[in-house]
Amino acid sequence: MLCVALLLQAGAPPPTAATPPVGWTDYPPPAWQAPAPPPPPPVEDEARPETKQRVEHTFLLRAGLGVGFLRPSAHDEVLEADGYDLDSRAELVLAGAGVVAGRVALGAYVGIGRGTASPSSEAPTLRQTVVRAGTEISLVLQPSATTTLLLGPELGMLQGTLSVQGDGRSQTVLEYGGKLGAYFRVSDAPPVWYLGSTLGYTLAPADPPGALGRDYDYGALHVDFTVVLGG
Amino acid sequence: MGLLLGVVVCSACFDFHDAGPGDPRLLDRACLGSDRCTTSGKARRTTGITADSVGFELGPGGGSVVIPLVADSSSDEVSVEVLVAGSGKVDVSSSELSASDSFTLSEDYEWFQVGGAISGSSSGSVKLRVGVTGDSRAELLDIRARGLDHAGCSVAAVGRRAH
Repeated sequence: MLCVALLLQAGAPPPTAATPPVGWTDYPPPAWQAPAPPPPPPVEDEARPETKQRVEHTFLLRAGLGVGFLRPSAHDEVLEADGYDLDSRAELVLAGAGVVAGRVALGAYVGIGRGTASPSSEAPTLRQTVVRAGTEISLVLQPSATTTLLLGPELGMLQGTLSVQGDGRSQTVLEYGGKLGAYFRVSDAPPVWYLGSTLGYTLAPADPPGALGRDYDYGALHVDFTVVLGG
Repeated sequence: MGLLLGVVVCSACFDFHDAGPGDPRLLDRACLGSDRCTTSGKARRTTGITADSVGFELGPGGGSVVIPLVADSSSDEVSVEVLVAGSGKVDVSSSELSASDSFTLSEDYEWFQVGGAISGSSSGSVKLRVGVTGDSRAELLDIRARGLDHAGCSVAAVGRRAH
């Protein structure tokens, strides 16, 4: 019996690729068609430029208009006791800086300020006027293509006058402090314009403005609306 | 021309927007002329809260300043305050007001008040005396009053009224 089986198997033709053995089926069957692959996503046009790209500036000019909230001082308390509450002044600041190394800009600033306090409409008005000028070092940061930040210290001189009769004595003192500005790009074509705000804090300690009273400080917390031109 | 000058001078004396006696810097208005407020002893006139305001340094060694004021005829009760700092004591008095008081000073500026009534013989003129004795030292920065005002107006230059 075994010999008969072996003889039958030996007499059968060998399986080929065209004729698979019995029970063998191709997979997938010939009638089956693979689904078409999904269409590829549209390719970004790499040649198209971004709407706004970062701009490397060689210089920055800025103009600010705002308010200086005066630093408290011992003389402030004397003025308050006398009836004058002088706590702020209007300010205008102009500055220019050149980018000298990487993100570091070296520049200068000038500013003027004026504040008044009138206890009543008839009383003499207390007036403070200041003229400021100095140098500044700024770190120029661009966290995005449309935003520029400036931060750094300021050092300069301040000439301040406090008067009630319009004939006060000017005092020239050292002014020092720092600033932080955040500006948002509003134009694409160079030169690039930015709008934003600058926050600064300066100290300018001084002797008493008159023979009596106490030490004064012409420093302030500066809050400015700022226009920046970057070239 | 004379008419114009007269108008300017008179308008200076009838300025209805003049500061009141309760407003700051009555000391400036009262001591406008260099001879209006007289000092004696170790007292000297100087500048106050600003370089264009008036102040007085009194002592040490005894000294005083006399400040001329006028009474408001519509008020019988009057009071005067002085803004002063220093050490020791300061004396504030007025014979016309029959008022006299002494105050202990500190390094901080403080208002001290004296009050009184106008006597019949004062004819509206009131002299306020502020002084120190001994080692006391005082810085007089300002005065303010009720029922009193500075002694009058004057014209320092044509077209410009000085307070």
